[in-house]
Amino acid sequence: MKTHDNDKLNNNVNELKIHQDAKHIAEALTRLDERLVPPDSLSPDAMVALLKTQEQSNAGPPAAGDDDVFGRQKKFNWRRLTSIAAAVVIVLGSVWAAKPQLLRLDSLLSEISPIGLNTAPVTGENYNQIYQTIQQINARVSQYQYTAGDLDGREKDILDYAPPSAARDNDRVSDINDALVQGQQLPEHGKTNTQVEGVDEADIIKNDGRYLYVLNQEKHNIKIADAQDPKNVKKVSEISLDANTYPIEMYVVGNSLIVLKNSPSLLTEKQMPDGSSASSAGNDASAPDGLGTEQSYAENSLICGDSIGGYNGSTTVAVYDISDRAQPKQARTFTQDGSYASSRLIGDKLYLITNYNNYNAYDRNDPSSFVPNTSDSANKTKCQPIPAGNITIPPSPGSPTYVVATALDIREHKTVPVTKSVLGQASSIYSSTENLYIATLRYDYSAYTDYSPSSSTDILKFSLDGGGISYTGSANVDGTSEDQFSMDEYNGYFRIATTGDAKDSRDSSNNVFILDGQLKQVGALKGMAPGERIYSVRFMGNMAYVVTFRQTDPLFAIDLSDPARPAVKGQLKISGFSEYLHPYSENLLIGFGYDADDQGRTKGLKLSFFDVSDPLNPKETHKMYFNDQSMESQALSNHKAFLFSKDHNMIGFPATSYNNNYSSYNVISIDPNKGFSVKGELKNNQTENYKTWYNTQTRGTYIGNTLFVIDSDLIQSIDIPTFKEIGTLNLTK
Amino acid sequence: MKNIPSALIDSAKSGNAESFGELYACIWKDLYRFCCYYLGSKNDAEDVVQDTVIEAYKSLPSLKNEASFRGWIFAIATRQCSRQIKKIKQSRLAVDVDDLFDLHDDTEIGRDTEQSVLIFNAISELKDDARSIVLLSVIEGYSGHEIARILNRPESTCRSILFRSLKKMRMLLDDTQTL
Repeated sequence: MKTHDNDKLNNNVNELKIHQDAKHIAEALTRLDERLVPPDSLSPDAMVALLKTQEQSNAGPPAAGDDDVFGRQKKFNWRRLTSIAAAVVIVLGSVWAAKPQLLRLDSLLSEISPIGLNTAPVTGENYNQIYQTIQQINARVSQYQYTAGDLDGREKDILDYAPPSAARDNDRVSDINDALVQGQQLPEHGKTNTQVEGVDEADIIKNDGRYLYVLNQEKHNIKIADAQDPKNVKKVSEISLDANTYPIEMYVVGNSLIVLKNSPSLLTEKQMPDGSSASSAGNDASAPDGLGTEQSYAENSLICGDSIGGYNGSTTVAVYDISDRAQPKQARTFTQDGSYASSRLIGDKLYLITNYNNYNAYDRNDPSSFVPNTSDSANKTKCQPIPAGNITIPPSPGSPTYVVATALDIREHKTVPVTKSVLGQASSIYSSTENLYIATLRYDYSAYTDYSPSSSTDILKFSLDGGGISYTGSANVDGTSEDQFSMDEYNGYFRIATTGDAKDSRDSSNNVFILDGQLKQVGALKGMAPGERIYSVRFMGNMAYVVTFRQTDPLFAIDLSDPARPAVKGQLKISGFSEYLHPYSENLLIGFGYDADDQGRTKGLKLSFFDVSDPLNPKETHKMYFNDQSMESQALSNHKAFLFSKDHNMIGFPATSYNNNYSSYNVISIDPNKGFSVKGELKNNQTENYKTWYNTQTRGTYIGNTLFVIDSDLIQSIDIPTFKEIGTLNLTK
Repeated sequence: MKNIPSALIDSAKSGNAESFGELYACIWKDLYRFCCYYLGSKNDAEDVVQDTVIEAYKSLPSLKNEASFRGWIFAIATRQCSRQIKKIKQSRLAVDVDDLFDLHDDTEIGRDTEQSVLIFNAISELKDDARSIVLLSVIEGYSGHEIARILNRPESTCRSILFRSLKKMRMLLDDTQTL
């Protein structure tokens, strides 16, 4: 197995196992490598000739040679398989059974006394204690140093499969009037599809009812466009972001625009010789965030970019004053170590969560080397290690990764931000207006020998009371949760839906747990739909709707009104499954997902209306199938790409057709009585830009009666009632 | 590929096909092999490698860092493979292992090879996104970190898919023991 330069240590035991298995597989496959010799048609000379021909004829990519491909249809040789299977038994046995290394790990694990062996979390007392704790965790796997690349973690929100929240015209807690020019009334307009009312989420597009804000990640810039006249949307300004940071997403509230970016590790500043800017790792003092130049990070680059992001990079919040939309001014930057996990904006408070691991580059005498650091332009701090007292050690931390969470006031810059940290690795977060919950994965290796460690989830709870952020406790539940929508807080109770992988069989099973304000488990529903996995969840007050799937899609309607006795009230079995549930009203849910055949193979996109007015009897009242089976939509895994407007009775989502080589934005009219009908489809022929195939940048939003479809640098205005295109703006011009 | 002279990349970026050919020569065998494992068919692999090369050549100006060339082109290849899988999914379900690994003419195939074939089959059982993650890890040696970067997906997701997939493969392989 190849290793790469610049590998660094990753001390996650899980990573170790992956490494070992991958190694075994790689060795086995190496024997087959020699049978996979490329033909002459792919030789470098042939390729050069091909490229030259391409240039001359200016043709597109060659046809995929479909005829050849479909020509032969040899069946899989089952007989051979069974006859050699027996012969292979012993061979496989020797590959997969106890190997010296694994036995060693097993005994190693049993000898290690768990840190934080108490059931209660421990607050850091001083840096020495933290240092020792980190070393102890690392020591568990020190001889299995598995090195990971130092990468630019271009992480979007790490929440996959995130269905949107209850879409409604929520009152923004902030002062929208700030944004308004000439005191005009704001028309109804689209907002980011968020999960919880009053809790904003970041996105690459923002709309404040007058201006459209478009973040272009690849080009490192944000453009502001005035959409007051939808026929004539005008670009008013552009913010260029530093080349050595990677912008992820943003917020716009009042007269502030807040960008979240991956940035280089804060420690690289400290490690620069004498902090002098004359060195090759020059420190550009004039840059507001004081980060080094691009060149200094080039040496650490490995894949596709600079050495920013990754768990040992940092994340920067840059706040811009956009009181004058034509002249945005950077007002402040705040940076915390770690790669971006997620964020939320509640009122004027931004909550930033990152995952940080410095991979063993520790110096006992320098706390900055083993705890997360922060820098703040407003309070003139640079690479400050967070206080030991702000760090919590939970019971049995599995890895020396820190979850770092900061509460930052985006208006009162003088308010000192509060940063807390807990050892663990955030996988998803959920926030209400009062509390932030972070789900972290825990693998239990005590039952190691059957290679099926059970996984469970540790939930870390932080109170957001008083404008700060304080860790209030944690709890463990079986199974793992998919995303932010698997969690919910209601009437002080915390609810979470998980899928657990049983130890001895491949059967998964699904659960809903209810915890009280102290995170004590008061009720649980376990073992639902064995053999299936949760694909989407929607908590709505006293009810929870859970979609599981393996071959058919049960939609479970679960009554949570008695926290101690959650009960499945009704089930609906249909083909296909929804990746994504969106409430239309209290009694109606929209499901967006796939249709599937009875073997469980997906067959194209599908929209469903579910009537849940009678929980004992949920019904699928309407559906719409999309015939193009090669069509995919980003909205299935990113709720922010899903547009829902009750005002206009419409849904919008981007899609890509692989067979037909185009991407499009689709608008569907919705009517609870009549179902779905296609309102319009805006097509974009595939360009050579491969990014468009994933539609990662396309969003739809609206102001009044105009739909704006925004794709990287293009804003198209569509009149909603007629679906006529009334204007186009190319932001690069 | 840390020692790529920037002059070579610049030349390739500006449209010099021979320079691009030199870059390609560093990774062409790995690229083909990766596509073979991914798609289970030499014909498909050949098509995809060609498409990848053409796309990479056109998009090369967008690559900022020379040292990342390998990961970058594997990212393109992964997308192309994924796209190809969707295309062929409906029309051809079977992977022809004999054809892929030239197993017809061998009068005696070592046990090791047979075992390897089984492992390959287990990979073919994986769904598209899991397959790309496993292959990038197992064949190309990328870490969870690096895979996340190549696929532009969250690191924790890649790790957990990798973990689950390897586990699933193990179970598939264990199953054959009971036949």
